[in-house]
Amino acid sequence: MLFNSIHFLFFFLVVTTLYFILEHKYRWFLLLMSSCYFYMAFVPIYILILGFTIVIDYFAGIYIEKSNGKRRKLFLIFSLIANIGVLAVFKYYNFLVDNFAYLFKGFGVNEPLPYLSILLPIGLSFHTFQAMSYTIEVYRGNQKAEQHFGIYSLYVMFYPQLVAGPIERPQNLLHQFYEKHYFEYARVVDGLKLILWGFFKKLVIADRLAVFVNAVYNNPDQHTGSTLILATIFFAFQIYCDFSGYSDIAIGTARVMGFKLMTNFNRPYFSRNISEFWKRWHISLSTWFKDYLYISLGGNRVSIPRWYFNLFFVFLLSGLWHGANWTYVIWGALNGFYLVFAIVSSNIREKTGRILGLHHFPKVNKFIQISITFILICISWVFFRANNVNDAFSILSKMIIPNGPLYYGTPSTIFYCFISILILLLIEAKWEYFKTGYSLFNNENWIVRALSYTAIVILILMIGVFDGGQFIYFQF
Amino acid sequence: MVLKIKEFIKSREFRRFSFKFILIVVIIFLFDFLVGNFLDTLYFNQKSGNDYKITYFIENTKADILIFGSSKASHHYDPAIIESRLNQSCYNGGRDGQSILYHYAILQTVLKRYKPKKIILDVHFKDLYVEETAFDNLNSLFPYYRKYPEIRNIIHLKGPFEKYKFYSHIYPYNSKIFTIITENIKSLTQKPLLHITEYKPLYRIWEKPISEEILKETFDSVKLNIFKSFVKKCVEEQIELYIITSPSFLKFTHKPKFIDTVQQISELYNVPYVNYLSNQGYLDTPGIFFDQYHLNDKGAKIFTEEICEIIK
Repeated sequence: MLFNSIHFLFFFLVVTTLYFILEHKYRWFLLLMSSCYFYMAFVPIYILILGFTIVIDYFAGIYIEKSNGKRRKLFLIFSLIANIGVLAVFKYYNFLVDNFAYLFKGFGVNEPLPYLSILLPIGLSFHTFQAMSYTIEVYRGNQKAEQHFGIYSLYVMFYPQLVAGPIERPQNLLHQFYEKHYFEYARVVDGLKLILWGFFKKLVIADRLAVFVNAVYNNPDQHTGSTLILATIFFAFQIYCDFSGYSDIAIGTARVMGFKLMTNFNRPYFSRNISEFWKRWHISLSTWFKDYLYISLGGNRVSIPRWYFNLFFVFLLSGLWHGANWTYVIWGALNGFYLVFAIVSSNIREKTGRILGLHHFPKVNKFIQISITFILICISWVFFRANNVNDAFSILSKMIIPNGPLYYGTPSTIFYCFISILILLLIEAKWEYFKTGYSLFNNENWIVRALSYTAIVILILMIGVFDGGQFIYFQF
Repeated sequence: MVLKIKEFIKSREFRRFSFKFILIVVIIFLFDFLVGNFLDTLYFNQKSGNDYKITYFIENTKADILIFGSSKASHHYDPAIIESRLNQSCYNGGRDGQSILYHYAILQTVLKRYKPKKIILDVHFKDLYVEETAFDNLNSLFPYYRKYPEIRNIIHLKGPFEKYKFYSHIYPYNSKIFTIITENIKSLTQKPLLHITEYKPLYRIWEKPISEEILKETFDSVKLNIFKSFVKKCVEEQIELYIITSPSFLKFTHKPKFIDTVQQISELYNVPYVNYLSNQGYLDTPGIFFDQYHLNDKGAKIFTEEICEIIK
């Protein structure tokens, strides 16, 4: 069931209404059944996979808590292997087979391993990581093992964030299922505003940009460097609005019912450097990798070469998490390289800035930093979006010398694309740099607020794309 | 009590929310009605452009011969040649990217107004096979939803909830605001085009060698039924219908299944069907193709002359 569907709107209305009229002690059951229904709307049988990992992790949590020493670690390892195993089979097996086949071809061995013809269960990467964070936190003693099987299941399956995050932590989410939530006007309105803004980003911006991006990236050989540059910039906004739009709908949906989910995006394209970008982009995933992998490897409390390795390796794995394709691995590695290079070159860059006198012009300096960061991120997006590694390098080589005419599709396509990006930048710049001051959505005057909601709905109806299909991150 | 409905409804927070929510919904519907009607006026005020051509086809044309089909129709049939050869007026209503679904909808609206003497329906594999965008492209018909009930069943094929979207007056004009505004600006200085047609000549010569097309030959049952309905409607209205598959610069590993299917349906309704899909005469004639799927203007003229012999 897609968020951007009438089916979901009815589902949300029914579930939320029932949630508030049900006695508190039955609400977990309603949410659990609703989440099952939500998940089974995609491929029903895959709920068995979810059930399998839920059972493993539920008991693992209890036994980890009861055990000491080596046994405690063994239960954790068992749980992690089960989760990673499921991920490996469904997401990476065929990728491994492809690569083995390529390696063994030289030895005259064809098809060393058989392919599996299975669909990737939707949201597998997300709920797997969320489940792993539970057993890890229980092991670390930061979270008590959940005794209630239903509540634990709901922690993994909570429908607003089940298929594309935010990837939650048990300390944040589990206790909320025990709290009684009342219908509060201000909170419900906040949630609905977020949902509306999420739909705007998805339907008006992301899906509109996708029309142009898909036309260009699916035929990169037919397009010039300038067109590919434009398509890449559009893709940067497409993926941001698609993913953050989904997150807004997820967080807003949960907030209406009284649940507080973590922020997943914080206007990342206003970042002044790559490190800041990764503190603002897909925050739930980057903090997951930081807390459970980067710090476990030693973080920055190791020798400098090892520190650089830790950074690079974590981002490499982060790329692999996104998909079973070398393009994602390279994307991750490139971001890791950016971070390491930023550390290595920080003195030189600061000296260069001083020589150029940029410190006298902080706003200009800021603009340059934001622009350079955006360009670097766009270069990495080429790998993320390209259909394969060859296409990615071919696109980049064309972008170096962008000659040739610019393809712009139809005038209306390009008009809508620019208008939607302009609206996004104006609104986000206001939130980033002018937090106080006049606001439309949060205006004191109710009429102004009502008219601004109306304007968003009218814009969605006028220039939203209703045939856009699913969210990009569902495929992960 | 498991369900605390009364408590919930009576709660001050819920009542405050409900009141404001209903008020906002009313404001939205009001603006939707006003803006939608304004867009409706502007849309039908257009005097040129692609949207105007649809309106012209539905509301104005009284041509003796009508041509239906996708881009192959719009680029392959020169109505000027048909008019001069057959001494009958001709309107080429071919439309890029549109399938039989669109054309059946248009046919129904046109037949409510008048009966042409002949109809040429250009049909090719995309008309009958499963295709992702076939239903999406029906967006072109949205502005006519309220005025022409005949097309609603076709539009409803888009999805089970499609009809509810039309409670919005703006929705039919989704993604059309740019062209509506630009065409209306043009209309200020332009008189309506009196003689228009969808025929779009193509001017380029395809120089690449012939390629092999691999078809995903899964019939779309909805399109198949609509195709049969199109044929049946013409027969019932006693309109001379000619079904034609125009030339492509392609070769196929085997005869595409849709040809036999179209043949069977044609024979069932006693309607002539002529297949030029991989006609060797056209494949061997140099310089008449624009790309693998379309004739250029030179090719279209040759083809149209040949069609005139068939339909005269």
